[in-house]
Amino acid sequence: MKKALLIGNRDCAGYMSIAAAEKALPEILGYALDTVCEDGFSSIAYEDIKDYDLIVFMPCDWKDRDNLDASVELFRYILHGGNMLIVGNGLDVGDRQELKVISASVYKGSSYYTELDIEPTDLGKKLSGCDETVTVRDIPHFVKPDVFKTSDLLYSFRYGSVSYPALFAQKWSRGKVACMALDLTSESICALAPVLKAAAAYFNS
Amino acid sequence: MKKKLFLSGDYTFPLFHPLKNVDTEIFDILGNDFEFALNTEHFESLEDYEYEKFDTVLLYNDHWIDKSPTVHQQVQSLIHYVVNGGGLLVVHNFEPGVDYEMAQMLGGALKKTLVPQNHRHIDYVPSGTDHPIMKGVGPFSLEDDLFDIHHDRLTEKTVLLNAKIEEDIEVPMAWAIEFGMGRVVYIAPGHDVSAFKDPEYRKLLRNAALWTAGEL
Repeated sequence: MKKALLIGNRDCAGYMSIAAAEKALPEILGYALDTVCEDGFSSIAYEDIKDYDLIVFMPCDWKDRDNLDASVELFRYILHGGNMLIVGNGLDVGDRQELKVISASVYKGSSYYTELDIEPTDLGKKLSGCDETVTVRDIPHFVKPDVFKTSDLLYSFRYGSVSYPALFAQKWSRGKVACMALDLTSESICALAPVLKAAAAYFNS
Repeated sequence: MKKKLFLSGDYTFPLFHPLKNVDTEIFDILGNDFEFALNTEHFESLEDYEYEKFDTVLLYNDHWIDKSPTVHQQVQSLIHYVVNGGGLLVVHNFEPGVDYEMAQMLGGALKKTLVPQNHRHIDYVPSGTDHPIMKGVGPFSLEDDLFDIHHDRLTEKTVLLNAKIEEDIEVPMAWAIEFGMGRVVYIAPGHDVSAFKDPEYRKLLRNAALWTAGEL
């Protein structure tokens, strides 16, 4: 069975905790799941994470912590061929350049809970095996693509009159990184199963 | 104790920027501070090169990407080295930025291929930053190439030096980036040996090499 490591906050006032993801991800993705919470962020080491098939990176306050060493270890994991799904506030890593480049996007902020239609592209449909738009109540995160790196867009949502990437992915060095510009809350995570499966299929492609 | 610097450039088949004669100036500028190892045009050896033995790497490779089919793999070695604490100083030749991952780490890439008419008189002015690289470096002028650079907004850089294009227009020509545990500097001027003889440029180059090696 494949193994995933979930990195996120168990307790982060006002932001999503990993509780819903911890419960639902094994069933949605079919991966055995380990977890690293905020107490363990600073001790993340490449030697300990290198054998995971997937890292789900969804901390809510990475940019507020002194996580240089851990950021470098996660970057090494990608350099050596790892797969990472970056979720929600995990896209906002402050001045950690090495994590910004693998996301191939500039984080622009987020808004409040709102109803969103998460629409698959052709690639998203192919990878998820599902043609349908997913409607969820979730927090939209806004990113702009990097000028150099071309990502594959799998899902998008509209906020106001503008279309934003909801799930996009790219190869980086020997690894692959998928970025999900939504949270995974107890309310949204099950409905977002096709989106998560599309990300998993991208890593396996 | 001297730091160790790995210098890469082209002696045999340079297109525009031979290392010959430039190397003499580099050795003169940096020789009190560094011991050198040299690689010229054996690019495949860079795929798994042991950069960790060095405190910093100075690239003056000329059209590197045209000379080797495995540049992407070679770039990975450099990225790995920098993120783990290595130093990288790229002088003038921006070809490494053709590789997008390297461009992200360098903070930019050439927008378009160098053309001869971009060689011109250029006034370089310090940006005003208090970055240690710029300590004691004053303005200077050179006959050099004016590159049209596509800056990566992902990478936060400290601009060190600008080229004065018009009275009120300045464009970045040198910058410093902290990437992972390592340090990267790009310096645009340096087309030929005349740049390396300019006193202010020499200070800039020395300070940049020392900073990327963790000495400033």
